[in-house]
Amino acid sequence: MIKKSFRPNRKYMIWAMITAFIATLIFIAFGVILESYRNNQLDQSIDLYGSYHFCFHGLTDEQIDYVNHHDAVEQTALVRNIETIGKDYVCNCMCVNESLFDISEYRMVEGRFPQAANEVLVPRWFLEQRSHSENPQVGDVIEMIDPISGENEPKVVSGIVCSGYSNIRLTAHHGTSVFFNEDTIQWPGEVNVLYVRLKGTDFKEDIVSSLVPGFTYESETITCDSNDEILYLEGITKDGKRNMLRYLGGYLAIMIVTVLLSAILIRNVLRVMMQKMHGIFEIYFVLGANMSEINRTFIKVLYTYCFCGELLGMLLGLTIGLGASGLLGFTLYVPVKMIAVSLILEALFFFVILLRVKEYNRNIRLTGARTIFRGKHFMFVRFALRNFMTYHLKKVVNILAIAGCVVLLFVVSLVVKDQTKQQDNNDSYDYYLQMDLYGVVDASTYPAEYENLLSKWKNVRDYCISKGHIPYYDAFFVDHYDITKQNMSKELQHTYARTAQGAAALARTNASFQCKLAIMAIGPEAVAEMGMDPLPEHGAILLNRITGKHNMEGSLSGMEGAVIKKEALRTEGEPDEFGNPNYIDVEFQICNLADNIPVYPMLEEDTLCLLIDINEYLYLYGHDYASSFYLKHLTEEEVNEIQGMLTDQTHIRLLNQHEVLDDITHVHRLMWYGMMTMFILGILFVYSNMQLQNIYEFDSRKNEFALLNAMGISPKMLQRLKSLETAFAILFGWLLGLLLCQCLNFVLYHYVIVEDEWIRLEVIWQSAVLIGAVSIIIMLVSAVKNKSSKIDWILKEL
Amino acid sequence: MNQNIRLVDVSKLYGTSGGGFPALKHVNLTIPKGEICAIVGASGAGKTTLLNVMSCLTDVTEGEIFFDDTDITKMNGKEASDYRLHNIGFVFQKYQLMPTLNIHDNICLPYVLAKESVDEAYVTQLVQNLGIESELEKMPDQLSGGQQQRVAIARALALKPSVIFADEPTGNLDSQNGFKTMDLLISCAKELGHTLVFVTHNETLAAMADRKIEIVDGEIA
Ligand SMILES: Nc1ncnc2c1ncn2[C@@H]1O[C@H](COP(=O)(O)OP(=O)(O)O)[C@@H](O)[C@H]1O
Ligand SMILES: [Mg+2]
Repeated sequence: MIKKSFRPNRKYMIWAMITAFIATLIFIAFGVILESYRNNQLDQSIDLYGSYHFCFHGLTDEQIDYVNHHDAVEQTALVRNIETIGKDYVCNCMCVNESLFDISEYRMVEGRFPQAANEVLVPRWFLEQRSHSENPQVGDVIEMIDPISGENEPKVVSGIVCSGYSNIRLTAHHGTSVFFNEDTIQWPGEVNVLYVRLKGTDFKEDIVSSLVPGFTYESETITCDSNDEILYLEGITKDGKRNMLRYLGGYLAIMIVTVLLSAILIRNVLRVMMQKMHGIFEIYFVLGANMSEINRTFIKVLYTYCFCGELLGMLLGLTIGLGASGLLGFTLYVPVKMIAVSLILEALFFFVILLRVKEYNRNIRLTGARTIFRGKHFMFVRFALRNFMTYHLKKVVNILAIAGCVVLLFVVSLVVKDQTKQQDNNDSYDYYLQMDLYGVVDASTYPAEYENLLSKWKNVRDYCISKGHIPYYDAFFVDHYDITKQNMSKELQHTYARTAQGAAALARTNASFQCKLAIMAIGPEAVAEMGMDPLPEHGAILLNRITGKHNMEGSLSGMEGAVIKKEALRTEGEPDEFGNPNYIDVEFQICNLADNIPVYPMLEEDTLCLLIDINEYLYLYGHDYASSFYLKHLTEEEVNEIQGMLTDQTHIRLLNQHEVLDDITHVHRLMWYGMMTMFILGILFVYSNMQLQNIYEFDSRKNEFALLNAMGISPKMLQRLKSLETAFAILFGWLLGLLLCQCLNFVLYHYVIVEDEWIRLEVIWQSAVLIGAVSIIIMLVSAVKNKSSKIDWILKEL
Repeated sequence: MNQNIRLVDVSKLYGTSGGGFPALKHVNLTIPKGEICAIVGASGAGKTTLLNVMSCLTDVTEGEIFFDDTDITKMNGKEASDYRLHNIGFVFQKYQLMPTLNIHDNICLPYVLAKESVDEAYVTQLVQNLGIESELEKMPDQLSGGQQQRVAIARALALKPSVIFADEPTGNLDSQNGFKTMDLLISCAKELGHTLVFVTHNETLAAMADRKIEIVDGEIA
């Protein structure tokens, strides 16, 4: 019976339901996508590097026993020092399980993993040094000290090993280990290093702390080797903790903002309903009905609707999350705990809002007001402003909704930006010939290996040039360069000033900022492609910004014509008295500035790029000096040819840039879609709020409008009055939103992520401008919509 | 020119086009310029409806209404509001002052709607005549009923309209106050040469008019 009387207002109940639905949808979809994204990164890392691993040095037998019998341990490997070869090189004897070896940074070049106890896996140079045969090869017998007997014993070389690409480091030194099979050899006695691999992904702090007293990742006193990527993603290291905090904080912020927004909306819906149902309630009251019971029933009914909305939102949110994860090729991960807590919080919040039902009927008291109709100008605007000021309490929800949407977008874009943080990508060149660092192959220790590498590099380079492909050399020569404050544009200074350190540095009058300087080689074709005149001798092009800083074009000023002095690798004259070669100095004059260059050096952020002519580069830095380079437009045939030249791809590889970048852009595109969805939902929020506002507020002010109508206000003018009032609400909401974002930005910069500089103000402006523009469009749309409504009802009011 | 309002065979049906409720039935009426005219009749007789059709606030179902020689039933929304703004002043039973504006601004509101500058001299004269010159800075709900109604009268006169419609202007006032207000309204109208059409239940007040029109069930008796 009572419930029946709510029926005419079902429309509003459904409205409340949809509100709860959208809010739940937003944070659940977002949570699921984020969690899946993070967990898939984690999975990928585990795929690549295995689960956690640690290396412990100088352990006792009891400690090793403890680890070996621990539930959480999947594998262990013992490493011991057996011999010293050459002057400074220590050769480690490793006893490893084959599967562990597979994911380590060591790679099998040829042969197989040792099977028998007398078999050993060695680097080529080791084999060449020890083998007595003319032509050393796999299967040869070499002499080496047996770790057990301590005597020189013959061992069969089962394969050749070299270092590869992996995050798992079995020891501190590269390329200086020989391997035995753990299954066939049991080494007693003294152990230098114990390598531990854990089951699953749950970090076992007790293992680490029992083996390394006082160890903590917080303090970053790394005494053991660790899988940084995974520890980072799991939030165990200091950086990882901060990342986790940001991730959870971002999620929480999104959740709170959406729930607040929906609460505002539901409150609005309630007010409209109370207004509409006032008469019904009054009749019940007069008839002597139990008002608290009626109120309770009302709350129950409305709460059921909201709750259904929550459930539906959860389902669709999960579906969207599933869809997005599917599109990304992700496995779906549902942050169950996070969702449960959010849902409970949301439900509680709605409940509190609904409990305050009685308060929504209060009327606004009007107090004294100044005379505003004087003179002739802007009187109508003044009239609208007066109305806005008088009814600002009624409009406050609108203001908050718009502010909330600006903040929501800000937070969403921050989180998306954080998770898809990326450097400049080099997508204009298709292939990258990647060289290992020279430390891996030291010319004096492994001369043969070094020669081999260099000749491979030369072969590929010469082949490419013969086919008409001009390689674009990656920076090989990296140095430092101090940019002075004067050379930094206001914009760049501003970016620096946002961090506490940057601000402190800028405060010094003669401040200069140390940047890395990368010298890259460029062919005349590439210069022409950039639309520039050919480079003169010692001429250079400077990238007009620092890498990693997007949208910072033209952030350096006064650099044109400047001279950068660097040491070349070319020597001149006699070596000095200590026998050191006499390197010549070169001066590059900056004759052009470029905002974007075809490719950026494969380096970290904050690098200056100086482009010089390829011939000069080869002359000054040596024709024989190998460096990674980029290639364009290779045919499939040429790619195959190059791959053939590189044989086993040890130390030197040809990478297809698009394969690497495609994954990234794919993820980014999806994140962008996510943001747009969020944006559209935000607009829905604003729109339903404005519609509700019109219904509620303009309805309660029918009398005023009726009067104006009778007095002869034209329909257009009446519409203008309403629109103007709404415009003021938009303006205030927008300003409030900006203010909140700015506060948030300030807090983030100064208290949360002091070192990170990637958050930029443009993000706020983008969302703010978008929301502002869309609000105005919505305002116009609802104005047009309201215009067509009949004014007959107005008459009854007078 | 003898400005007047002329109703020719006006009918008004409320509700659905088919079997609506007839509020006015074939009304023929002429009100010459400057006339003080009282409309009397039982509740629900159609008095308010009559005023509404004459002020173009609601469409007629049938018939024509001429203001001077213009047929106001043919006007579109914009023309109708212009017509009301410049030719008609309203006084309502419940005063209907704008709650957000003070007394001065309430009186000057018609100027804002007409996008004209406020004629302060005329407004001052008006409020003096009506005896509310000391209330200008107050808000409507700080005034008594009689005072509020006088503000409404001042507002109705602000743009010097040629016709004033007053729908039971004294209905919410006690008889003494009602009489005083009505007296003021009639004297103002006469002084300025406005046509005044007012609805009342009070025979004494009706007697103050030049002409009394009685309406019974939507028809002029
Ligand atoms: N908007 C409307 N819809 C339907 N009927 C109406 C409407 N306005 C008035 N009426 C009816 O028209 C008749 C005349 O109303 P009205 O002119 O207000 O009477 P009065 O002012 O003389 O009391 C009444 O019976 C009333 O019920
Ligand atoms: Mg009436």
